[in-house]
Amino acid sequence: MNDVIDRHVKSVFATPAVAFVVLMMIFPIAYTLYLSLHDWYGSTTSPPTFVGVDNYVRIFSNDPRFWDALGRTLLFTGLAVSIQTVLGVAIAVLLHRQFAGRGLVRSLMLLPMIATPVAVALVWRLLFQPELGLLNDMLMAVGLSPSAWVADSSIALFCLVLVDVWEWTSLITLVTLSGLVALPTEPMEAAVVDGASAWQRFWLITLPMVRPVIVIAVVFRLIEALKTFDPIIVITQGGPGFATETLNIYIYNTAFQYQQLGYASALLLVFFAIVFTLAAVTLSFRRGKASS
Amino acid sequence: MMTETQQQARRAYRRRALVRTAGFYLLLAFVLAPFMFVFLYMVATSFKSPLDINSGSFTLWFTPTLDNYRDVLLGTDFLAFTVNSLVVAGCSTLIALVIGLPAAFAIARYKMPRLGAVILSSRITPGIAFLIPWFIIFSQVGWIDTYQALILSHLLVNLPLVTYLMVSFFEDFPEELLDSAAVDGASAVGTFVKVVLPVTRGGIASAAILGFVFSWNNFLFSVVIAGRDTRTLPVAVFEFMSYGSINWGAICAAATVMTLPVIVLALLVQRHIVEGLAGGSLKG
Amino acid sequence: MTSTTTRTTRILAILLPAALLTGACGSNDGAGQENPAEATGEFDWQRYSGTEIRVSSLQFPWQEAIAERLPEFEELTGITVALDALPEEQFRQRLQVEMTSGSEDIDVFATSPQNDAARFVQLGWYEDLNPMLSNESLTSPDYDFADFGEGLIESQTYDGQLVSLPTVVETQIFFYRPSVLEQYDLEVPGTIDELESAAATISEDGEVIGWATRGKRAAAVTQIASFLYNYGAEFIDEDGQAAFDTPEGVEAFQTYGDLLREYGPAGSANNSWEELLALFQQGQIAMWADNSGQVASVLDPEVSSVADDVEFAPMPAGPAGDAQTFFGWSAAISPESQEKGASWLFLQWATSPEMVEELQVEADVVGGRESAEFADDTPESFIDAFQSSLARSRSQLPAVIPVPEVRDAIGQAIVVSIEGGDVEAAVSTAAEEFNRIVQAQQ
Repeated sequence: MNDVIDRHVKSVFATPAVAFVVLMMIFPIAYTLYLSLHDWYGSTTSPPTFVGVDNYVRIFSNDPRFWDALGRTLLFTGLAVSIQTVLGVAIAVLLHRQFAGRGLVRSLMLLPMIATPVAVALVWRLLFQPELGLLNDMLMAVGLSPSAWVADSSIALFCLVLVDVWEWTSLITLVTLSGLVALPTEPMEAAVVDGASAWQRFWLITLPMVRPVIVIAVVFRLIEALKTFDPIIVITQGGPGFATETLNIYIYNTAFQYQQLGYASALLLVFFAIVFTLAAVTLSFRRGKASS
Repeated sequence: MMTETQQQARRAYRRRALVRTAGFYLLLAFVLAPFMFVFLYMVATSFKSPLDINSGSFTLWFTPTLDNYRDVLLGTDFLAFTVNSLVVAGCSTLIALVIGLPAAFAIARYKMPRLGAVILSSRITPGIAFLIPWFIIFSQVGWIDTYQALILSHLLVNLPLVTYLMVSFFEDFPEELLDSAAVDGASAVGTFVKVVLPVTRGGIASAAILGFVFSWNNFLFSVVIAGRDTRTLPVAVFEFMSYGSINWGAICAAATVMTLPVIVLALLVQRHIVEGLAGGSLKG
Repeated sequence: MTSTTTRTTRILAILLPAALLTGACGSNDGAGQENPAEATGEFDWQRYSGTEIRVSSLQFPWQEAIAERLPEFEELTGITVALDALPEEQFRQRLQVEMTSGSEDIDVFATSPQNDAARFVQLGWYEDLNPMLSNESLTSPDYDFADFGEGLIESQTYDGQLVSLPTVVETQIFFYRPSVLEQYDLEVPGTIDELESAAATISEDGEVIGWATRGKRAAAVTQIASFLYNYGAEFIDEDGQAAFDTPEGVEAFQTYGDLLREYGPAGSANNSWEELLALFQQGQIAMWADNSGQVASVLDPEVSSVADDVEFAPMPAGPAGDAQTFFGWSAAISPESQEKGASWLFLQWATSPEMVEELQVEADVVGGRESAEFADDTPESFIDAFQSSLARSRSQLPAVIPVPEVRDAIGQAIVVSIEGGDVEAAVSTAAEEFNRIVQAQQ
């Protein structure tokens, strides 16, 4: 008996996970593919009707809302992740030294990432309140005129970027820090001997050495930011108008407000393809960098 | 014996060091403040009366009141929501460990990169891609608003997290221990259970805590799948933003109570959080 | 080395979905209790004593008033009621999720026929109430259905099915604080032009907000209806195509947005009735248009600081007319309910002549019965404004099937107008969207 198990030990270990993956991931995606070729409004009485690739045709030729949402998704992701990266690395450099309270600071930096996103988003919603929120108090305290924040279409998306930056900058910081700590000291010592300035040392030696670690974290953030859901649904629900409707929110509304389960499935697969393409591109970029 | 100038130089140096340290801490406070003030604001508001909240300008000087906490804890089914969250997060984490630990070991030891890639891909896939088909399937089997549906859906969050974190622990597992177990004639499964798991229990605890936290925090799956009998905390707080004057004090109280356990747990496994969050691709 | 795994994967890939599908198809469809429409014998409130029903509603004055009176119902019938209420947006979404899932959990639910009925009928989400209504064993002889009036009954009837019973009837109404108008020596505006100049006068001081109405995407659409009609535009033409992109329609959108931008509260584009009600209750708004259902919350001195300082008028007229608009909430029974008889008794009790009058008198919740009186202390101006508006009112929403989606499309143009964008372009985009959406769902 034991022999049998041992001979197939790999499958014994892997089967539950494989079963889960097939059951929970591959099967639903196949089902989504099926639904995406149908019109279905979630009716218990009338089954999905086959419409071929109509749903996809509509996405690419006749759905401006999709393209707007895609643009917003990319803008949100690009902005949020670039700000996080610059800010995150800068803070890491600041923290990369011995000082009293270092452990405490690192613990505090964790809080935005692990606090329940819905809870935090609700607090941000209050912060953005034009009448009650702290942000307008602060603006007025320094003599600026109050803003409508998330109620103003032209800046609502940027407010959400701000929330994302608040939530995730520390990930870049902490990852970079762990990379900095693991660095060999010789090149740095050599550079000091050669009389390189602190700035040169950072730019020419430290940064290139930690770059691989930072890139991993950035890729990871890119993928996650594309999928941002909780803060948007809690703070703006995609509004005002459609000003903060990202793909995730558009698909969610299509499925759960408009009941267009067939069309939502088609949107889903397109979104899925976009996320995977971006992930693949950034990952291969990373591999290329690493081998060079 | 020091000369006057030496002493002066040293004093100047000390002064400069002091200024530099003070400057550093000032900068540090400046950097940390934006990250912390949201929490401060949340906790402060949770102790404020509606009058103080509506007064229009934020102040830390107010008469604290526990009314909001009383409203939230006694005026709603907060205990039931907490139990729901605990059951869902606890069970899904447990199952994630049972499935994920062997899988992680297989990926780490038997070099099964494809399995690893597939599990990682579930972290890349947008959650909504699973949510819509699962919502329809759960609907058809009458599982909406049940624990089993919630637990299964939360596994989609947990399992990849646990697996990925554990792969790195198992990769670091000392080869000699495995070899000596093999010499003693232990089976592979026996070795895994009796040798590998006990040695990596620290890592397992971290993975478990992290899985628990992520399930506790999950909103996307719960908001659709949980109904009135299984509402988890984030869903409950989101759905109970009452109409009329939104009771921000109560919302902040609920947010504080909901976030507190997560923060405590997470601080226990600090180092691994970053690893878990960054896809398990980091070590050390 | 991977062959075992591959094979396992393949087998699983074939077996599991099949097993799951079988499970999916095989379940559900419980037999349920006997068909209540076939009940016989004397009418008896206690017929379903001992059962339990779940009622799902949005949070609004009707639900609050009913919740307070549930013990009476439980005593009368021996039926236990669990009443769940969520804020409107969350309620609507939750309801759709549960109805899609064919959940047997919901017995009775709140619904607004103008927004829901065409869609819900198509999806099979309403139990036809006619058989129970016409069964004398199930319907009290005192129920007096005809008291609702023909027009209202018709608005609850689709394809010959009675889908719901009216619980709340609303018209869009003009709320104002007489003390503020007096302070600035203003008359109650009778036209939109007068409204604008009054709002300008009040807002100039910045003490109170001159004018407010909804600006949030979908929510605002019901409120712009009267503007559209009174500028001479329509939501749809005879063929069901968008008709609001005429020059008159654009002017209506323009005016609606301009008024809010110039004289409305900060962040109008995110305001629905929940936010505005709070502001009005706090005395921050001088003039406000919303549905008359808010009257209950506005006149309740426990939550409203302006309970003594509010009067009502019909909506101001526009250059092309003086139309008023209506909205309504109803209660319906889910076809998946296992307690339809008990649910019917609940509906009957909640919309009975006595209860409708009681809610109207004690809670200022206006139901749809013609016989129901108002309380002695209900402001005269409200009764006048409401009754005169209702008599000549039109629907606040276009009669199409995918209402939520077209509301979002139209609402986007409202937001653009509020924010001072290119209204003409936004309205024509909205009209295109509207036609595309309606076409896709025919």
